[in-house]
Amino acid sequence: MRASFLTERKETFAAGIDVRVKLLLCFCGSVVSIALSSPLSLGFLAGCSMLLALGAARPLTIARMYLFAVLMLAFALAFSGLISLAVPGLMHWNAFSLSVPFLRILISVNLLLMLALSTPVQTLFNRLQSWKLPVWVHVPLSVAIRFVPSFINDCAQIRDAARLRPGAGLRRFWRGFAVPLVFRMLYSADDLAMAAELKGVGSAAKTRLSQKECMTRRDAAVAACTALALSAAVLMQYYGPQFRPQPM
Amino acid sequence: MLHVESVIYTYPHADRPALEGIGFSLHAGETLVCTGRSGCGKSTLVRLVNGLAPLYLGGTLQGRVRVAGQDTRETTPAMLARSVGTLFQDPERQFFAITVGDELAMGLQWRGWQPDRIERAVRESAQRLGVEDLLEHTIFGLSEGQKQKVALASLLAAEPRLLVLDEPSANLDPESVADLAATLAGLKESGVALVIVDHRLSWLRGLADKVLVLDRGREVASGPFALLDDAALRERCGLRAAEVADPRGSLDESRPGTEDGFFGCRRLGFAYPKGRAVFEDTTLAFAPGRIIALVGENGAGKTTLARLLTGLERPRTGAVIASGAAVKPRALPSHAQVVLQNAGHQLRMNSVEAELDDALPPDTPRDRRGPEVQGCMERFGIAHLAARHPQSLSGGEQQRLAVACAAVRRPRMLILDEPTSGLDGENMRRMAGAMRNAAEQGACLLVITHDLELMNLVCTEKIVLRKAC
Repeated sequence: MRASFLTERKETFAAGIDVRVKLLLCFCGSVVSIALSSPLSLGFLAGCSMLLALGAARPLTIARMYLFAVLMLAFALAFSGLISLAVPGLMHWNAFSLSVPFLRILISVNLLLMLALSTPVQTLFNRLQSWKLPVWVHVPLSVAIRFVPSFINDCAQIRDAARLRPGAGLRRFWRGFAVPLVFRMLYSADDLAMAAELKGVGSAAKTRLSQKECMTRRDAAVAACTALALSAAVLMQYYGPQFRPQPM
Repeated sequence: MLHVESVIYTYPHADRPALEGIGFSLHAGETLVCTGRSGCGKSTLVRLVNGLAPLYLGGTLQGRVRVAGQDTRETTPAMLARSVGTLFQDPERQFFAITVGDELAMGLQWRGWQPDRIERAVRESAQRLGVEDLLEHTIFGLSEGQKQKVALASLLAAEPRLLVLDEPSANLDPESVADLAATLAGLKESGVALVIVDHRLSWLRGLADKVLVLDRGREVASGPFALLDDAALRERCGLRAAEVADPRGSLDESRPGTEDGFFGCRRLGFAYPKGRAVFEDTTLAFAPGRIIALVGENGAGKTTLARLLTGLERPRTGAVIASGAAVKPRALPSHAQVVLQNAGHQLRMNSVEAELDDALPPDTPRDRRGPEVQGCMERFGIAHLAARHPQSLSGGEQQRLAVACAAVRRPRMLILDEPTSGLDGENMRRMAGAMRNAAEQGACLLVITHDLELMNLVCTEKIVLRKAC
């Protein structure tokens, strides 16, 4: 019999990784991706983090989230292009320079997906609480991560609704998808906050860890691979092909 | 257990109180039923009792609400939740964990319960509501009825002293409603006080000790359940019937359509990835002008059938037929429309009028668009909302607008998934009229509903779905 319903689910590779290792991975990956500026290093890290994300969810789910990342890039490219046309003295439009922030976003999205789609929210709460993080840090952080599956679910429902009333082009995307999604996200955020309040999340009682959690070989292997990947990315930045920053 | 004393509550930025002059007491083991037309203040009363108003939502509260001796103005909702369990109208809104088991256990963990006590409480509560087989499932894959049971199970696991239920019967099949009534009767006997807010009244006859009828935030009537037998009061306050006969036994099984190839499906097979088969070799034929009730226990596949017939799911085998020919899923929305339970997802324009105009078939002549939209708004009783933003409407209004948008496309097949859940008697009858109108114009309506009152009013045939083993 299970010790608790709050133990990790093991059906995906990422679900079997200890939450401490996952949090460490997210933290190190984010810090290194901010410090690095070589597209090659960042591209390498984006590839590695994508493997982790694929270990947490079906490729179709990952592909949907990538669609958002690509749309964000497209918007950034379009608006920077408009600015460079309207005020040429302010910036020179070049897609290459925008690839660096885009790759940084991609790495963060991959790591967040890996964490959010493979970790029960209560496990995350417990771990962050056991690290003595204040309530105003660990509750919002856990709620934000809990928001990811809700967001994916909302996207699927809105996509279904949009298919029932087909349109064309940008209008179809804007009216059929973006507008309902914005409203739904606002409602979801409010709902989750109320649900958390009524469940007593963040109230005085100290939650108990359901069992003593030990690191496994898988955790050690993931941590070692992460250290290797981060080192390789840093080496690529300094010893690999050099990319001169393009003026903006 | 619960004392509400001369309460006047006004939401932030509102110009008039949502509740005015409300007062009552409820002791352990008693049940209060609160009802009234949509927007009468029932949900506000729920928020006052569970403490979300005023501490979380803001606003001004005059008078006093005390729950288990605690003043809701001085006690946070999180602390009140140790005595009060709240079941939301839309149970999905209150889920916080991802799996059913975690959802049931989560609130208990935040109370600092020991893991073995949590496991025991979760299992007992899951068994009580018949969801023990779902403990490993994600909450996103559940039917609406299953979600409601899971939400209630998570509340019962925490052993509340007062249970507040906002439309608990809205998404349950009649058998589950009877089970729920029995569960609540057991809780009542064990000393739990119950506040039940609902439009559907007939199931509450043996359960209610007091009834409170609200209209525009004020008390219109209060007393024993028998006061709801007054037809004039029900008519005046837009209430549903206090006694409803179950028409499912008397409805005929749906006959195959006589108009060859109007709409239907042939040898349809479907299963979710890694899941059991939901449909195998299913053949259905529909005919124009009919209103068919699609009934079956929660989780039998009613919504899945709706999704298959409208192209939102691809069948593994077989095909959906229109005009005698198989139609690809992508092309099905021009033949069949479905209004899903989360109607808000289907609304996207800036005003009700623009929403209906957008929903019209693209080939509608320009000079016909205005009259079509106006006529549709009048049929569905939403003409007075023409300039309102669809996302600012109440749940019931959004539901009527979503159905109007689907009907205005004049599909052969119009499928409505629980179109009257959360609707008061007046709006339910209005919806029934609009459904008859759509059928008279030549559509076939397939209605997924547990609403016996609606079935009595409009349905002439039924299709019964049973869970595949």
